[in-house]
Amino acid sequence: MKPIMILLKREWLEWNRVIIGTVLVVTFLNLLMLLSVSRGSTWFHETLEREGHINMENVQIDEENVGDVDIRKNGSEIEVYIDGSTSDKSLSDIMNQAAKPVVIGLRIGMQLTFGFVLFLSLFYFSDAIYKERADSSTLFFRSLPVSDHHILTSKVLAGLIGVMGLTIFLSIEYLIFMKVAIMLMGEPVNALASAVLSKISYVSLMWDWFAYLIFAVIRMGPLALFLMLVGTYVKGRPLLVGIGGPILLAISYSIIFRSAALFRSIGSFLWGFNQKLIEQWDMSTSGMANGPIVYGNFWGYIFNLETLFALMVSGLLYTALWMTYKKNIPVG
Amino acid sequence: MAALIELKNISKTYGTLKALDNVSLEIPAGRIVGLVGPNGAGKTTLLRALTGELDYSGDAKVLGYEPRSQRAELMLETGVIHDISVLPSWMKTKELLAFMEGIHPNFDRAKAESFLKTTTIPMDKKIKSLSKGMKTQLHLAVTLATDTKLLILDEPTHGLDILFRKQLYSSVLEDYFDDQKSILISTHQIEEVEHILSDVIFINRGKVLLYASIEELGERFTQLTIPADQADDLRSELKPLSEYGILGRRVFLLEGADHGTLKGKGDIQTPSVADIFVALMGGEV
Repeated sequence: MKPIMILLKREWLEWNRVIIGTVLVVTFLNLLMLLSVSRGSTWFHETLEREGHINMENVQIDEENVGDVDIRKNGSEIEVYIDGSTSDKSLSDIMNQAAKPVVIGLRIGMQLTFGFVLFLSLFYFSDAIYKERADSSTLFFRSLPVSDHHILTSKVLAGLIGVMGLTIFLSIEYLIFMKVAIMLMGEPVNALASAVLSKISYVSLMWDWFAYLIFAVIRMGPLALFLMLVGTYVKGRPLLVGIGGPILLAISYSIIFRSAALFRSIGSFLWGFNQKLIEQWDMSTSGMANGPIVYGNFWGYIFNLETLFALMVSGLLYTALWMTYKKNIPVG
Repeated sequence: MAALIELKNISKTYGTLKALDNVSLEIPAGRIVGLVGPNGAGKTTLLRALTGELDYSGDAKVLGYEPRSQRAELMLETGVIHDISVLPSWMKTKELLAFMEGIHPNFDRAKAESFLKTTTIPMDKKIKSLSKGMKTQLHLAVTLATDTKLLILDEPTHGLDILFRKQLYSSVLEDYFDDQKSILISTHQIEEVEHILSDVIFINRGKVLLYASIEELGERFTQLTIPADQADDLRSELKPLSEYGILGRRVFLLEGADHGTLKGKGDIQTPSVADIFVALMGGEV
């Protein structure tokens, strides 16, 4: 166990700049979002103060209806009129309507965060072995009292733990920025959104998210190991070969057999990550009527045939990776 | 004493090229062995087979371990310096020391730091910013500070200046070698190491041409310097392995010659390892 821990630390030493850089870039983007929200909020309140009302046309009111929304300032109160008549909906109805954009915003933020980290991880996995071959340091690491399995396992684990850790960190950051953004928006958004967000248990949400990420990293195991395998023998550009190879294969397949089956398989594999989130975090039917429906059941996905299949393919790819890695194929 | 390295019919092929061709050797412990051969002779391939970095056919035991399947155990007791810079370029010197301390139970960090104090290597700089000489010094510091039974040096002075080449070998002798340890040095610059070797292995085209101790070489090979006008007569009689001319005289290199019969024929000397190497390589190099 100790060699794995030391080798994981060594991966952190090598890649920490990328991770810290990613956090800084995402934080910068979140700050830009806050800035624009702040400016929008200032405009909203200044316009409301100056003109007494803000009229918005063709706003999606609910699932079926589109209408005009007029926001009016009445003393210290802000009133919302839909299609000329004041809203006669109860607070729970309004919250129900407000819940959808808030929770969808939350879900999209989490999806984007994971998608971004998944994209970054492609660079890591394709470079994990290739870089050591390119600078010959593979000879140094293999002159140490650690087995090939220690080295390979530490790289796979570092990537998968990195994906989970970075996604969770950026998700928490996103949630914090989202809360601050809602506060900056002022009334009535603040009251409505806060009412929704206050009903969400963030511990449960993170636990749910954690379960999803376990499912996601198991599912991405074959992709990660495939890219690492490519990195053990290519002479250059492992990511291009690793991604371009299957795409070229799919194009050739579609030309020869006049079938887009391979493209569909690649697409459904990639979409599968998103699909589970949409299935489990779908607010379209019940909204807030029965409490916040932001929680799902991702554990169910972990213990199913699809995951078992991913683990089996990962096992085969790991064996191929180990066999190729042993051959110590030089880059030059 | 059990052999430190036992090789039986080791072969390695790259495509149609036989890099190692049925190499069989037994090297005892406590020796400094020079693996000598021209470029492309198979020296690096043999060393990489010994350290389990390469697949090969045949049977090999190094320190009692099978290099391919027991590389981790073998590397606990073996230090390796390659002919190229192999230290991870993104690491800083101090990170390398910390990493070695964690990963290698026989690494003595204080010893490495004390060695580095005698150099100008900065602790806070990345390895990629160091000169080639500094990288080799750093690798040497890390390797010599690790308590191992076998040290494998694959052309360690490749690309280094003469001052550092001398310093490297004296460090190896002073800070590493004792009668419990063994060193295997690969080189094609035999003059550089012949004074420290106890044994030599000549290798060419993947085959071992000669494996002998330095004493044995002295007994087996003789250098006879004769007047040029006697060369024709003595050539047919003595059948020299090689010959060359110097200052109007001819120098014969003889194998297995009886010194008693050579008396009076010319000046008898012990040839250098380099001369024997050149003679054995003949026109093959």
